[in-house]
Amino acid sequence: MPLSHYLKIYPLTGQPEKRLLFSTRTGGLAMVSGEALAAIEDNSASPELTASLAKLSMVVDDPAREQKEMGGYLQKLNRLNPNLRVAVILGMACNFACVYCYEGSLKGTAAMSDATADQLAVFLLARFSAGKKKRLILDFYGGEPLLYVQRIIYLAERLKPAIEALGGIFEFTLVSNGSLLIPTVVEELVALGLQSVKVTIDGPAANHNHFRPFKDGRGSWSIIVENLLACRGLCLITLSGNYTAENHALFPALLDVLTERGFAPGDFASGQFYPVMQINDQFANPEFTGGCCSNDDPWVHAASLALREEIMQRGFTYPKLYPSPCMVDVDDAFTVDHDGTIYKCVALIGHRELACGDIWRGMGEDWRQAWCVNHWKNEAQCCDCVYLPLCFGGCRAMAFQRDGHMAQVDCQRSLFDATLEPMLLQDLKVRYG
Amino acid sequence: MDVEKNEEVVVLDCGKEPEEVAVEAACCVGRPSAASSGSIDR
Repeated sequence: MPLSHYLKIYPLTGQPEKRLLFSTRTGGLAMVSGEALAAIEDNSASPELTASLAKLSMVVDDPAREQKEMGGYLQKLNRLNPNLRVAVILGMACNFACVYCYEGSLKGTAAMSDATADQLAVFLLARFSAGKKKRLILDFYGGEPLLYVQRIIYLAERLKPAIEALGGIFEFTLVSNGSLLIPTVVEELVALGLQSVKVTIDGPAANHNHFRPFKDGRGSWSIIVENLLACRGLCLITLSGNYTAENHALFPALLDVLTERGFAPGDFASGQFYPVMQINDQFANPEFTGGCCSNDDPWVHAASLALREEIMQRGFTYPKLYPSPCMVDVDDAFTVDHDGTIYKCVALIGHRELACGDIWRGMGEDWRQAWCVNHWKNEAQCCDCVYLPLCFGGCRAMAFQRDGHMAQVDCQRSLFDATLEPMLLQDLKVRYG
Repeated sequence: MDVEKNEEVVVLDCGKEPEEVAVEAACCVGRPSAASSGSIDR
């Protein structure tokens, strides 16, 4: 059997007889000898080896057919998807004044009304039933979602029993700044379906307080850390942080400070830092220009790899690399803004030309065109790309902020060319010992 | 983790078939590439 089109093969330093195999189609990872690989390539491999690699989708009957089938991969995911996953923007109020916030001037007092919340529940239940879904997952955003605890409770108290009466599971997550995350609130929300909270800390206190202060200018670092200490074990907490070209080297110190303050790596479901996205739209803070608007920047490759290793070496869980389709490509995933307008990305709310419909009338007719669904199919470079299953045209939000439109793909080839092999070697060293 | 060993191949991760990918799809909270594509964060 020939090798899969979606297979990357890397040598191993210090083990010249070994090769590392990674399937971009499944995220599968294996090690074979150079001799075994040569046998596969000249079709003389043992049936056992062939069977093992076939099970991993690393060898296939027909690579051309495999490539053709990849063209329908997202449709297949949509047929198989048991979930209805919806990001809900509860309102635009926030008690922070983060300098790089993508919501920028959209922030303010606007918030979801009772009538909109009631209709949201009706809309979600109808869509859940019609799609014969098994799980409803809401990701609550703001502003700061914990400024809207009563709205979360209002929605959860309606949706949880209704979904369970349909034989389904209801759960939700929060993307919170952490300043209002206290045990009594978490315990109340856990009883209603809260699974995890993503909290952002931008490195050590001084850096974090510069980038993520309260609206009145006070630092927020200490309050967040105290809250996380108090909430350990009550629900899953995902640690996040946003870095720039100037400050990424400070971030490992955060992990050490957290350890000194009494956290164990296992207190966090995962840890991951990201480059700040440069926002260039009409809502952006014009005073902030330190963001990243391209995966091609060498500093992003180097910084992301270095931080990944620092996180993993300290025993924190770093998510593995698997195909991970974007909300735009998933039919039963979308964002509902506080006014009931539907979008296909949390980072592009407020752009009325990208509105896909609303919770009264449902999804409109033209949204696929507006969001350039399947734009990668028009690109020969994408259709032939070994990284296609990990990318599918990249991030629409980044393309939009960089180019002013999302008609062209946000190619991640240079990112993966530069980082995939070192990432796998990190995994081999740290994750697999 | 190490889920399968024989003389010729060491399987470190079996990967995910579409059925498993579908269950986890559409969560922007931590897309697991090295740099991701920037942060969907505020």
